[in-house]
Amino acid sequence: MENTERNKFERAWQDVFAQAEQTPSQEVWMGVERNLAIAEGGQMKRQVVFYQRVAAAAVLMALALGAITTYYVYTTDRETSLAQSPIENSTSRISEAQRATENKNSGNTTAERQDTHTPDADRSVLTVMEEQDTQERQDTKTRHANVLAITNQQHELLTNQTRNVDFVGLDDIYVGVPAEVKGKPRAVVIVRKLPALPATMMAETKQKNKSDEQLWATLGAAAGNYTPQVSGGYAMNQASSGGLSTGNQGSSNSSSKGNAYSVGFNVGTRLSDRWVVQGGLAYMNQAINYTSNLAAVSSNNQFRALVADYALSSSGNSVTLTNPYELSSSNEYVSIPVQAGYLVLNRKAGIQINSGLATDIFLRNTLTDKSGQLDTYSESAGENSPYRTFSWSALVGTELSYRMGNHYRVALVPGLRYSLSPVVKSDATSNPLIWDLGFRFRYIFK
Amino acid sequence: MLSEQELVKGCVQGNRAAQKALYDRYCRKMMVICQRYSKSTQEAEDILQEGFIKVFHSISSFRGDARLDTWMTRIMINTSLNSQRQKLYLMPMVDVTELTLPEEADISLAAFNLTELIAMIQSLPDGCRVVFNLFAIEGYNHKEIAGMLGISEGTSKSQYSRAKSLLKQKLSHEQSYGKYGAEQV
Repeated sequence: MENTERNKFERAWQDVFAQAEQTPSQEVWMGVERNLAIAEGGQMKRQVVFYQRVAAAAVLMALALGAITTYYVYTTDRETSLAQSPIENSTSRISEAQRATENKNSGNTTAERQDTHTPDADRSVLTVMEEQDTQERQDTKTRHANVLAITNQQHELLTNQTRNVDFVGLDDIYVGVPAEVKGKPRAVVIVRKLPALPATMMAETKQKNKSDEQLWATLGAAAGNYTPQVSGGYAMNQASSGGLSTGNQGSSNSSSKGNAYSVGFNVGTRLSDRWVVQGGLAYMNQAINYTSNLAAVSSNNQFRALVADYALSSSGNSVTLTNPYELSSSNEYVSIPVQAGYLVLNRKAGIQINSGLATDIFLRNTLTDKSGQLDTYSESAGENSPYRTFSWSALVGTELSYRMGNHYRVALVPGLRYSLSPVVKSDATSNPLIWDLGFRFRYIFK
Repeated sequence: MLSEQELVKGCVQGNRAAQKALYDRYCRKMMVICQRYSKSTQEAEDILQEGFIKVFHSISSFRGDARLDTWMTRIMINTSLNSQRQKLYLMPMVDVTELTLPEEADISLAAFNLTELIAMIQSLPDGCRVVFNLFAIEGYNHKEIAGMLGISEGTSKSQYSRAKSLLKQKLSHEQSYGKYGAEQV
């Protein structure tokens, strides 16, 4: 009975409200619309923040790359200019001769022009044209002869820099240092600083990330190009007796690029919502090929591979000359990097810009004759080593990461390492530059 | 007139015209729901506004399994409960022995208009009002209500009994004495 009454009671109320409608005031929609607009504005702001940060990262990377490339190219140009200076002196002399010839020709032409327009000269137009044609043909012949003369002379100047040259008539001939080796102003990168965002715009993100990824450890490996930045062609004017070479000059020339790889681990922590710091330990190997005609002679008369670095150092090696041979030089270091990182994007996918310093401790250099005829030579750090025990490198890189679960993040790390201090004692310009691409596996503790 | 599907699609894309059309189509029905759970029209409009904001923010998750107005009703009820939750904590519902209501003559609601009935519901105590709405009008059973509100099933039953008793008294009184206090002959 009660149940029936309950049902009747409830049904009555349900029937009343089934199709019931009441009109709300206009202010309700205005409030809804206002809130939607605010939310859309916030979303747009977050998008703007994201793109601003990506743009900032791109500009930062471009700036760093530009600066380093400019420095690298400038250094190379300077070395090239110094090496080319005799040619420039010679060509300047050629230019002077050219100018003198031009003046002379110019004088003749003026005189001819004056002759042509003198009323006393009773010559027909046809005669004048024939004479001009004859003159042009002669000029052309003279130019061709001069081209040959200059080409030969340039060749002589390049091979024998002490010979003086006199030339005439250098019209239409380009003489000079090729444009690509001249020091020219490079592209100027104008960086437009993006405005900093008010903290209120980032409040939500800050709160969200506050307790996330505070401490982590990373295992990583990287491989890339290695440029020794040394001028190459270390020459030793005199080697010990008993040399096998045909000349009297010992030298070793390195390739322009070698290979480098590194493995290591890092520990990182977050300093603030966007800034992190990480440091660790890494083993590095930098290998490059040489062509050398030097060999070290051990006490038991065994010949070992050698490059001029060692011959120039006070290592006390007994050095001899050999036929040129190919060898591989491998440097091993322990590196202690400390980097600050800025989190451009800190979500499931992450973008982090890293910059910092590394203390590199030289372990050993190993020289290996590729033909296997000479013994491998290895030299550790120390007084006798041509390599400095400690050097410092600047590090710049980007971590493009992806979070996998609560505790793992994997990252691709394109980076650059430039040695701030020379690694070879005898050469102040031996600052290796390394471009590499690394892979990192991060374990997030908390 | 846009179909329900077109409205949803437009709202997902953030089209303001589609959002307005959706609001215009359902705001009156949703207003009644909000009024039943609130104590005043002003409070009901606040809940309605908050509910529609939630609808537009989460409409991309609407899969079309249920009717759009059913889905929106659920959002409005949840919004109403959230707004009432604090009051419910402040005035905890006590578990009382289930009341046995005296047998009374059938009370017809037909004699009352919608505004009067809403006013009667709004006059109920907070706990009673919520349980009455969920049980009598939405059709949830006491176990479900207990889970939704975090109370015991017995509390839900007792609150409902009290609500029912109070409403019957009000209805009976209105029928007996009229809307203006004069006894009906």
